[in-house]
Amino acid sequence: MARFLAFRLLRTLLTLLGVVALTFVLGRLTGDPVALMLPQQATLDDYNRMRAALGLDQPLLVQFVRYLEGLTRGDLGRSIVFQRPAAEVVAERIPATLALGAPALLLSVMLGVPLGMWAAYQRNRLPDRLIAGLSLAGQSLPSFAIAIVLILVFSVTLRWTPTFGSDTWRHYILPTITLTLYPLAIIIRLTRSSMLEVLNQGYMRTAAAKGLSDRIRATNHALPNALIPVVTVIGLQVAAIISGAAIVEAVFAWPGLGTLAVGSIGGRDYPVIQTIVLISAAAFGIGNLLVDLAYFAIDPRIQTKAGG
Amino acid sequence: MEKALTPKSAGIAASNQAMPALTQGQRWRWLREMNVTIRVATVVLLIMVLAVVLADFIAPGDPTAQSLRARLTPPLTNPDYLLGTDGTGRDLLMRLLHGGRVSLLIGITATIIGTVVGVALGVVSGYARGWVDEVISYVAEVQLSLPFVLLAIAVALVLGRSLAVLIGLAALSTWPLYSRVVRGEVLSLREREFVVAARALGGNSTHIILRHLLPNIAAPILVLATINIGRIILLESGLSFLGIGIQPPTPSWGNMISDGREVLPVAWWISTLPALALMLLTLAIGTLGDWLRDVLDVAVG
Repeated sequence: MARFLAFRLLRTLLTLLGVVALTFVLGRLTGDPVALMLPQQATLDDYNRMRAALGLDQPLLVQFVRYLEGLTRGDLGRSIVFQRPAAEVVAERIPATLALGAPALLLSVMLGVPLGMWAAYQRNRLPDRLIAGLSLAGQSLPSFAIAIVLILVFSVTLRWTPTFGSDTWRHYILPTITLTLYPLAIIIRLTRSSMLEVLNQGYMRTAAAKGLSDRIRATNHALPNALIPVVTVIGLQVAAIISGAAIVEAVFAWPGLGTLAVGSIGGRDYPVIQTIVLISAAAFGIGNLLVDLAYFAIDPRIQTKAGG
Repeated sequence: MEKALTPKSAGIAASNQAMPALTQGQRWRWLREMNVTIRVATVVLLIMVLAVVLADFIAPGDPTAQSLRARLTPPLTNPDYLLGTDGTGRDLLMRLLHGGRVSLLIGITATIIGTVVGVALGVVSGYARGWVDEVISYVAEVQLSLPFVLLAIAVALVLGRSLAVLIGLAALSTWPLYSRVVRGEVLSLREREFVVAARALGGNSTHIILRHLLPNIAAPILVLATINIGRIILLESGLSFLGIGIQPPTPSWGNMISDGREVLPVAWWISTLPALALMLLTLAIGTLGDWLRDVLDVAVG
């Protein structure tokens, strides 16, 4: 188990290193920071001194190592717009995004798995077709278009929910629904197809032959096996939810990471967007490590394969 | 003697099965398997494509022309503005048709680029293996670990907002999806008898890839490409909605939905009509993609 986990941890770190390299390269493309910082009347001498002071005269690899060192100290640069450390600016916005993203992920799993199972058991009957329709809609409909229609119906016409903002629990309803639809659709589809595959397996027939009840067969035999591919996809949904949040937050004027990211374009606030990208990649990495841990709980084959 | 030959002939039989010749009945099987939903989706898609292609005949004029006296005209109230106008009196029907044209153009161009790049890298990955494979798979994994909208925001901030950047981003967003699938298929195909035989007969890599590998992975690529047209249109409209994609005054459904958001309580149609058009288009494409996946019996996407 330790070897398996160490391997996965190394992979995650390598992927994160790739993301860091990407943000570093993109950062170099934003333009000459020295020229931006110096006043108009600065001389070439001033320019060179400033360049040396910032370490920009060093070879690119040295600069990259310094950049990495900064990251390990939590130094993610200063926000150009807010004139404060970017890490601080971004950290303030995390709770708002989590408050939408966490319920969305939870809801999509808690609804998606039972709905997918039910659809598999009702294969080609009406419930299956309805659930398949819901899943297709969730996957192919744009979240902000859904949000507009939801606002039109529930806020503008029926006046049940507020349109924008995040002040009361009522403000959470529409953004959470909007954000849940896509991961819900993915989880439904995967649970259904995985369940259909499992139901055809020999051990399911054995269980039936042993006279086990439908319920026991479903929960103790079919579900654990069907869940294995589903768990993988839950990890991948972290990235989908963060992407989705950027758009959903814009629709509902939600004060989270997404709104901050979009706002950073106007002020060309690269340190802020870089911090958000790195934090999202880290969240994705952690999410997938948790998925690896979950594998141990549900798939004994991995324990034997990893050599204990 | 005969026993020694058996495995070989079994191998040939297996390779024949890999590329069965379609009989006349099988060739049209897909048409009979289209149910009502699929037919509706196809018709909707055809009508939408036709409408945006013929935009200049259906609603001739400049989609950016403002008419302040006709601001916020509701749909179906003024014969001059069949679907109404927006906050600056621009004709909504015209803007819808031109916006749809942009979406479809980007969807198709970026899908073609993404497919070619993704399939090429996937084939190279699976065929060459070794460090080339490691590098390509690593880059794909790094990209898939990033929420793409955020990456797009960062790139837009750095490289500016333009059509070329948008198409580039849209194409970039999908290549790892192809390369992963194609790599896996090529890895298993390259050990199959008909590929080994082709190599033994002196076929070079280009010949093997073009004549033996690609035809056998056409089905998953077709399914992925169909689904990805929808995904790219979603991405483009999402980015345009955020103000990173198509720049106003050029209409796109994304920026039209964004325009009308503020006045939703008084003029529902400005945001809602492009939102409905977009939903109809992506739903039609999604339906067709799902159906293709079932008919061709591939598990991708």
